[in-house]
Amino acid sequence: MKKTKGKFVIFAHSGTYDKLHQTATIALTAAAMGSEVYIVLFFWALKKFYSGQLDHSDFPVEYQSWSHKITQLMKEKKVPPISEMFREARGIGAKVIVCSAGLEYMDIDKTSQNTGKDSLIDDVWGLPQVLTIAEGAETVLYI
Amino acid sequence: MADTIKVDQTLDCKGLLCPMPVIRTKQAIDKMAVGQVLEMISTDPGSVADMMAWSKRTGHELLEHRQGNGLFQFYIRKTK
Repeated sequence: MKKTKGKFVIFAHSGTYDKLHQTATIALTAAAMGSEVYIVLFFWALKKFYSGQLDHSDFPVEYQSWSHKITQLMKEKKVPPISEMFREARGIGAKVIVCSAGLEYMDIDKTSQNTGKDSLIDDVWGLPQVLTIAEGAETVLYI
Repeated sequence: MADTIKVDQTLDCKGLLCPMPVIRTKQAIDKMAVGQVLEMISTDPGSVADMMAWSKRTGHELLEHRQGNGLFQFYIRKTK
């Protein structure tokens, strides 16, 4: 299959701070490098987006002992919040897509912050459309 | 050579960690006119390799970079 140069798709599954931070920085960088970027939210990433806690610093259980120290260092080094990086990524063309089935089975409060003018979501798609977009992408990540 | 480059805008990225110098550069370049030159100043040692990769990928011309006293200076011409 011919790959589309610069198309960059991230399947975001995890909702913990470390992995969402990676999703945000990689998406933001890829968009700044001129790639056509899609971030598709499933499961815990989707839940976190709608929770109003996107910038909450929660680490996986095995790394809990590092949580306070790393959070403190990130503040000291002025690392931007995850929500700000997603906003900036969208500002330079990245698209944040929600899995339509996930909206139903992840017990999402659809009236929460991700509706209206402050939304960080661009569209709601099902898997057939997601897979169509991912087809031929130069880079596909599952985080 | 940098002394002879006419700089149209200077972007201070001192203290910013990767990938923010590249992100701020992209945002600044987007607002400039084709042919104008951006001077970006960073303290992130990774920004030398990063700016080379960014200019190669985006097609904007990295005219020169230099470093000293913990600072990295880049001169980028907007090409499109």
